[in-house]
Amino acid sequence: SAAETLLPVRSSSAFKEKGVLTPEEFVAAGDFLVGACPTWSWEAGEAGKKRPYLPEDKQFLVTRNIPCLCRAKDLLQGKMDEEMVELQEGQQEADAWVATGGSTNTEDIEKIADMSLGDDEPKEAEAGESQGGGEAEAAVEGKQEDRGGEESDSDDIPDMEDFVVEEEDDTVTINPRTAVSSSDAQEDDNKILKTRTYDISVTYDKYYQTPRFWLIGYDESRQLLKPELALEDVSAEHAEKTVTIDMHPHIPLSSASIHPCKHAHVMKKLLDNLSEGGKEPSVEHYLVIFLKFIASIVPTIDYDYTMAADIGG
Amino acid sequence: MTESLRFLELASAPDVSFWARLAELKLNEYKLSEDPIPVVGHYRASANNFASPLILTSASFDLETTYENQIRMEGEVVLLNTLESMKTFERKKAGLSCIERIDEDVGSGAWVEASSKLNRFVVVCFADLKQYTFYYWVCVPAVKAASPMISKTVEEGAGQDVCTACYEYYKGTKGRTPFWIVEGGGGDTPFRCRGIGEYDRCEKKEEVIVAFVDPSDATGSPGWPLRNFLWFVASSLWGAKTVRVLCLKEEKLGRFSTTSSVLHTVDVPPESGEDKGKTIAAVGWEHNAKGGLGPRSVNLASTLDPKQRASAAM
Repeated sequence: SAAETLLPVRSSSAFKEKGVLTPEEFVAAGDFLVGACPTWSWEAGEAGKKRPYLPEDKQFLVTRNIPCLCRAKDLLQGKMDEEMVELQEGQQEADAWVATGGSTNTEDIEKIADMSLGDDEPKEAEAGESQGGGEAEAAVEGKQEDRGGEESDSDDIPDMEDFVVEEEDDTVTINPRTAVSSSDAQEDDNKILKTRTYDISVTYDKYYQTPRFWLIGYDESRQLLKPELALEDVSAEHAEKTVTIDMHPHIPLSSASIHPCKHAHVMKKLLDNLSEGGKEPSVEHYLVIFLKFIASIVPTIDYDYTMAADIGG
Repeated sequence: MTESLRFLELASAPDVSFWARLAELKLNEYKLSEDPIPVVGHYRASANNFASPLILTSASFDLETTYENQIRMEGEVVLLNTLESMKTFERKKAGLSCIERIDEDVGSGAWVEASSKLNRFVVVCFADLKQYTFYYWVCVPAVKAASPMISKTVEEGAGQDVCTACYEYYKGTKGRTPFWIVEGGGGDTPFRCRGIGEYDRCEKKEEVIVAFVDPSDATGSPGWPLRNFLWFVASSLWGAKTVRVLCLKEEKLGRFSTTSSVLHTVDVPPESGEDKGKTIAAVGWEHNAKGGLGPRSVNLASTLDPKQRASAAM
């Protein structure tokens, strides 16, 4: 945002007083997290989106391919309103987390079905391959010239039925999809359908001077999820108020994010509680604590491998 | 009571940043070139009973990218100019040329320093940049041996000592070592890990355990990358009859799990003189979401199309 570009970067430490971080402290806390929980790693992100106040190769933190086996509303037994995507409602609650943005009008990500290849006739296919193989180079050269012809202007899903495939008669390969559906087919199919995976990232938000949590989801066949659908994996009270859909700062993608406007406030409280309990948390522990707090907002996304990490003391 | 050892396919997982970077490079750098583009992918041990895919991101184009606790795999992207040429792409040849590269790395000994070189991958794809749609098909080629590996025993779980020893060894290897040797553990001798190239120096070969960072979440079926190890190394190089492989899975905090790691004993049929060399076929083209052999596609108009991005930002 414009405000973000104009604001100076926080330079003095105030994590205990205000629950905020300087970029240096974010890096220190990130290093601690990566060391304690190797499922997390630093990423450099897109070259054009690097923030100068963070090291080149430590722009944000990522943990990938985190399973999410069921939706948050299944966990809460219907407590969640069907209309939870109506973010606007949250705005009316005076002391609610600020509802920003509302839903975007992002077009549906059109799910193009994977193409079937007539794999039931290996013999014929094999014959076809040996024929087609010889022509391959000619075909490639011929097509280079007329790239971007009619075909790519068409809205239709290209017909790939004529893909020539030699069925690899390899009985020792297990296809992950068929592997599960053999035993209790219905239940397992159900499990597959509900299983999403998330790439989770934590960026530094210069305006709020706190970490910011992002969810990029994939459905059971690894198609990118519409960001709005990620709201199904956020607990009801937060889905209505605190989750927004914005451009990710380092990846060319709009994705669901937990708005950081109250993070500093909550973090200060949590740090105070730890201090009162006799544990003196250092700034390195900030992200570990932060992720525990976020875990309550996304109850079915089991990313929190940090439980055993020793904090305080 | 013999059962073929089966391997779980390593699913591919290219993310949005991978396609965005590829589209950008196509427009500004590769243009109409269809030359293979070297890339790196990463996978890790299965964690929390969830298989790890082969992860491809924008960092895949930076060949020096390494992560702690993630196995690096070298590969290439073949970016074709038409959908038509995807149909005629010589997949067999592409698979075999990967196998040849691996064969060279085994021959030269390069695999000893980086046993990750026992596996490679190829992504053949077509980028329809007007529609922001990417068609792709990934192969992690494995040698299809003349006769299958036989699974003799499968023991679930592993001791804390061996898991700790393995983790201590693994964490310093920057993801270039999915395979290593574990010795000892009998009586008072502690477990000791050493490089995979030191097999010849092991005194009791029958007691050697090969540790394997296993992306598979299936107990009875190790992950795909083990397949080339068994063929290229255990069978061809060592001439072993039986190998014990400790398939290491992760638990929370990235350490190796004592409960979900699995010890496999595998009978390795030696390639007989007659079969040697001529039986090579490469398998490993990925199944798509329908479970058939075929390409996948992904449409990223909502994230990459500047028009849609602009309207979404309103």
